[in-house]
Amino acid sequence: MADSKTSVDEPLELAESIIHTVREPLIVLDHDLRVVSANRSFYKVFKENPEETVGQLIYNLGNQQWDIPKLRELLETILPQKTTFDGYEVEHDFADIGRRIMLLNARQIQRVWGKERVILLAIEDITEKKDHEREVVKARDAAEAANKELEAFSYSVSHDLRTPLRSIDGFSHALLEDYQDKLDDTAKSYLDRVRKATQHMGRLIDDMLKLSRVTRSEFQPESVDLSTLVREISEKLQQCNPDRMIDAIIREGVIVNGDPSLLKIAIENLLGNAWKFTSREVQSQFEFNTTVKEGKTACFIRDNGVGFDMAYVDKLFGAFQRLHTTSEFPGTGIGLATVQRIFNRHGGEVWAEAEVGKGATFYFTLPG
Amino acid sequence: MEDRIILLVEDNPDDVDLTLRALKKNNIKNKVIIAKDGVEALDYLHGTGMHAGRDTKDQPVIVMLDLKLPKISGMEVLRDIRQNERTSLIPVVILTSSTEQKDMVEGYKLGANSYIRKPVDFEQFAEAIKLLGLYWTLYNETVQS
Repeated sequence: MADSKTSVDEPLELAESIIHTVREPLIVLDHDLRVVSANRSFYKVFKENPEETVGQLIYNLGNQQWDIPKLRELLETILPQKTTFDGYEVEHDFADIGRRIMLLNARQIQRVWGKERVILLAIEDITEKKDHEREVVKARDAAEAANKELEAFSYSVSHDLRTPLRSIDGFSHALLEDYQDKLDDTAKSYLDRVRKATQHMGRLIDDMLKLSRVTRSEFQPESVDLSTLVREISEKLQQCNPDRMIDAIIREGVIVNGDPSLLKIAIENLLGNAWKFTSREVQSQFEFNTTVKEGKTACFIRDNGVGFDMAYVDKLFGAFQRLHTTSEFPGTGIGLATVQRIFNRHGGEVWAEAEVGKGATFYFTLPG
Repeated sequence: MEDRIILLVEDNPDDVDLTLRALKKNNIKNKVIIAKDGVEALDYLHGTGMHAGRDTKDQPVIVMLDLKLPKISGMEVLRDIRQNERTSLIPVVILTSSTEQKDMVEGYKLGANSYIRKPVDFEQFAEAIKLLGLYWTLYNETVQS
């Protein structure tokens, strides 16, 4: 249709067959805006029939359903000045077929079909596409709003919830210090408990924030040397626990694709657990290695610590879930939930195998 | 001068008392000026408002600045301090509950000299105040106007 000069000179049949071949609704109007011809698609999409269409003023089609102000503007004001107009969007509520969003291409051609001039009007029904776009925008806005709210909430948690804890711990400490000669042992032990609980809550808040940060932080994958990461974290743990000795077996050269800061948090948690749960062993050890599980390469961290009963394995990765009491092993129950979120964000998996008294093994996979 | 003043900008009276207690426990006897919000802090530094007529040649050797403050926030106080010739070289330590990355980035970008998160455990808190107090009032050399 672009080269209108040629098509104007072609016989009527060619023009007609082009109109009927086009997949989107197409309608031909004469200079009085009466319908000269319309294609099958037009009849189908707009539920009109040829008998009541051809020869009619376009605005009168389907009981004046087509009397649309924006269409009038296009046909009567824009087109006489410009002769072609593409991508003209019209939204209209049709009595028969409901609300439709249409994208119109209009073109005015001189002397064809024996008429002085005709107007070709191609009408694409973009209702679904447009609705989909709107849904996407709406969903994105909602996600952004939720994220903002989460950020504000986390900020408030990190700041406002910790502040009173500092007062509780600080003044309990002041009582213990300034009134030690007035307090008996029971009173002192109560204050100790207050302080312990306060500090535990402080750790809970911190870990909760870390967990939420793992979800909302940006994800920037790159090549990460896991072996080096494991060694560095292991050395740091050794420095923090100089009184403990642990045998570390670390497989060298394990390179994965992932977000370095998230993987660091995951490995810190897994190795931290290995250290914690081997603390009662005479000879503690952990191993970082790779293996093949169901045809896929999986990394694993294995320790010879207290392990756990596989009956509770489902609870292992839940937030605030613990398989040991705080007095047995300290902790908040958020570490492994964080680990799982990290591997999920990578599109990978993490799972565990263990036996009471025989240590635990944490496997994880990372795609790519 | 030579009072080597500490300006503590803190709206929470408990935190004020605990900070003073930590300083005292560690024998840091410098004069401590307390500002309960950002306005009071800037009034002190510029000798305006409630501190009108103060000799502003005497400036603190360290500003301990909380971030979440009524009226004018800690970040705004910091921005003002750095933009003003009179105060631009005063060391500022952010002392806050938040470890939000964006606060740290913004704080350092605005020219904070240090960023300390107040620990819940008082012993750790007192240790942090002790180290801060000793370092900034005793060892660090500030530019005197």
